[in-house]
Amino acid sequence: MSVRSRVAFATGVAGLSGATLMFSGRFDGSIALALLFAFAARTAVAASVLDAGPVLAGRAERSLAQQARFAPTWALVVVAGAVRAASGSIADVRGAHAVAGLAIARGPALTVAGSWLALAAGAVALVSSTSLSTETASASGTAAIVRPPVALRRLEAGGVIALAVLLVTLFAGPQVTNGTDAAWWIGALAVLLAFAWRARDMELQSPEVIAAVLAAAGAAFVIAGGAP
Amino acid sequence: MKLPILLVLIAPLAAAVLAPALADAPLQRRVLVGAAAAAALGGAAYGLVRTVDSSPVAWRSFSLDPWRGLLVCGAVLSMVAAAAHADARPRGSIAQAAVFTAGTAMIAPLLVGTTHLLVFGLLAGTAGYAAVAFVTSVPGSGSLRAARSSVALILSDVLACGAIGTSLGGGTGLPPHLSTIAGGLLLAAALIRLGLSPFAGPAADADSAGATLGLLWHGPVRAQGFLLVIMALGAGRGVAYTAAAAAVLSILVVSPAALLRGGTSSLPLVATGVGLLGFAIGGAPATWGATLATAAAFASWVAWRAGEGWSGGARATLAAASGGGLIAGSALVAAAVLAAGTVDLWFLALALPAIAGLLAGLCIVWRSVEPRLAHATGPGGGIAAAIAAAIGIAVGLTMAALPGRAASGLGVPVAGALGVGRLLSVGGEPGITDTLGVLALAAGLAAFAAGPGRFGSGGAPRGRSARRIPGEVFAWWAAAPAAPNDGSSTLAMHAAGVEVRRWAMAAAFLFAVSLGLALRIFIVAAGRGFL
Repeated sequence: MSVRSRVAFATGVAGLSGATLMFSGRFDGSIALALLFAFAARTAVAASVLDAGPVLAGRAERSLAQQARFAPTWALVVVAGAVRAASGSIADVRGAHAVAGLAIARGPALTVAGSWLALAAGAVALVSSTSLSTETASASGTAAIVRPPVALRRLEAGGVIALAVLLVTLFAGPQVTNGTDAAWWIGALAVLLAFAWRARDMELQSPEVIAAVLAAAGAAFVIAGGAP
Repeated sequence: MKLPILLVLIAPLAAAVLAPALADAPLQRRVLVGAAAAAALGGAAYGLVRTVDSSPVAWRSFSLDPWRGLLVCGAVLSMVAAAAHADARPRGSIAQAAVFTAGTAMIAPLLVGTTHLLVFGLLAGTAGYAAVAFVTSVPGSGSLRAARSSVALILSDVLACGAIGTSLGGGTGLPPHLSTIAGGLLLAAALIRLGLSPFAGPAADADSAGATLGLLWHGPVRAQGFLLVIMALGAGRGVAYTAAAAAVLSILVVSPAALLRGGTSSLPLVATGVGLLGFAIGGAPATWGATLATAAAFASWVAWRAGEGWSGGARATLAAASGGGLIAGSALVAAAVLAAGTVDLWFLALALPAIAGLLAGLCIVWRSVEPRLAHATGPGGGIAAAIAAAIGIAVGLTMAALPGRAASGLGVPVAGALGVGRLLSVGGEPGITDTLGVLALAAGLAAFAAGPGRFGSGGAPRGRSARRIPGEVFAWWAAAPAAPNDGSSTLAMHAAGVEVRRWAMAAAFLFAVSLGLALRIFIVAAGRGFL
C-alpha cells in the first residue's frame, strides 16, 4: 500500500462525502465546489490504482488522462447551469427551477436548447470512461480478468452518481416540496444512470471533442438566451 | 514594535558575516547559521502575528502590515531553506553568506514604504541573486541557466523602474499612482518574478540551475512579484483583467503541463496562479482564497525541497499540509469567480478556464507524483512515514475543509490591508460551512485509515505520453529553453560557456539601464522635494 494510493482513496471518499452532503440539501455551497468534490471522487479511483502493477496502472494512466480531457466540458456545463439560474449557488439553482421552471423545459428558446445541449455534453462525459478492468493472458494460454478492489469500484460508482446528481441539479432538479418534484429527480437520475449503464461499453470516436463541442454550444446558447 | 524587523534584517546579515569566518569549523558554523535562521524565522512569524493583531510593526523607514508580513514570512522561509541547501555545496560557507546577504537584500524592499527605496532595494536584491548564481552554479548548463534567470530578473527591474519612474508626479509613497501603461509594465515585471505565463521560463531556469537558486526565486523573488503585482492592479480595471487572464492562462495551460513534467514540485505554479486570480478579482472571499493560495505557494516549494533528503512519507506530509491551503484557496476563488460570472461575462471568461484548469490538475497531480513518494513504505518509509503522512494529510485536509476558519485567521487581515478590489468590491459568502468541512474531513480520514486494501507491489510504468494531455503543445510557456547537456562533450561545455558570456554582457547592459532609471527616480524625487 503506497501513500499515494491511500491519499487518493481518502481524497475520493472525502469528495464523495462532501458532494453527498451538498446535494442532499443539508448544506448550501457553490456549484464549483460541488463539481470539485464530485470530480475528485470520480478521478480518485484511477489514482488509487496507479501503483497497482503495470496492468492496472496502465489503464489508470489512460483513465486519468481521459478525465483531464473532460475538464473543459464539465466547466462549460457548470457555467451553463449557473448562467441559466443567474447564480452559482446550489440552493439558488434549485430555486430557479422551482420558481421559473425546469431549465430543460421553461425559459427562452435559446436557453432551453442550450440546457439540452449542456445536459447531453454532461451525459457523454459521464458515460465515457476507460474501464480499469482488463483481460490478461499467460504464455500457457490461461486468461484472467484484472479488476480493482470492490471498494474502489463502489467509489467509482459513487463518483458517477454524484456527477449525475450534479447534472440533474443544474438542469432538471427543483427543490423537493412535493411528490411531483421528487418524480422529476427520480426520473432524470434514472434516465441518466440507465444511459450510463447501457453506454459503458459503447465505442465513441473522440468523446471528449464531442462533449466539449456540445457543452460549448450549450453554454453559448444559454448565455445568448439569458436567464428566464 | 521594532523587534521583528530587526530580527528579519539583522540576523541573516550576522550569519552572512560570521559563516565564512567559521568555514573550517562546520559544526560551529551550522549551530550559528541555525540560530540565525531561527531568529529570522521567529522575527518574521512574530511580525506577522503582531500585524494580524493590528499592532504596528515599524522601524525607521521599514514597516509591516499583514500583507507584507505574509510575504516576508514566505521569503524568509525560502531563504533559510536555501541556506540549508547551500551548506552541502563545496564552498558551503561562502554560498551561505551569499544566500543570507542576497536574501536580506531581496526582503528589504518588502518592508519599505517609498518608491525610491523600493527601486534601489530591487536592484540590490537582484545583484545579490546574481552573486548567489555565480557562487552556486556549476559550469555548463547550470551556469547558463543561472545567467539567463539573472538577466530576466534584471529585465524585470528595468520594467519596474520604468513604470515607477513615470509615476512620480504624486510623490514617492507606495503604492504609486500608476497610469495604465505603467501598470502594464509593472505587471510584466511582476509576472516574470512570479514565474507565470507567458514569462515562466526564468523561474524554470532558476529551478534547473540548482536548489539554492530555485528556493531564492520561489521565495524572496516571488514575494517581490506579489508586492509589485498588487501595486500594478491599482492602475485600473484593464490591468486587473490582464493580470487575471495571465493567471487563468497559467492555471489552464502551463500548470498541468508543468505538473506532468516536474511532479508536484510544480504545485507552487498552480498556487501562484490561483493567488493572482483572486487578488486581481478582488472582493472578500476571493481575496481570502488568494491569501491562502499565496501562503501555499511559499510553503509548498520549501516543503518539497525540505523533504528531499527525508523519506517519501515525510515528503508527502509536508506536501499535503501546504496542499490544504491550495485546495481551500482554489475553492474560494473558483466559487467567487463563478458567482461573479453569472452577472458579468468577463468574469465568466475567467471562471471557465480556471475551473477547467483546476479540474485537469485534479487528474494530473496523481500521475505526476514521483516514484519515491509513490512507495513511501519502501526504504526510508515504514510505519513512521505512514504516521507522519497521515498527520500531514490531516493538517492539509483540515485547512482544505475549513476555509472559513483558515481565512479568518490570515485572509481577513490581509484583505483589510489590501483594501477594496479593482473588479469586485464586495463578495458573497465563502460557500463552505464548517460542518460540511468537518464531515468531509472525517470521511477522508476514516478512508485513509481503513484504506482500500493491498493492491500489489508492482510499480507504475514510468513511460508517460505527454501527448495525451491537452495543452501540452503550449508547454513552452512554462518551460525554460534548452541548454547544452553537460555530459555530452567538451564542445557542449564550450558552447555553454560562450552562451554564458553573451548573457553576462546582456545582464551588464540591462543592469546599467536599471541603475540609471533608479538614479533618475532618486534625483527627480529629490528635485521635487519628496525626499
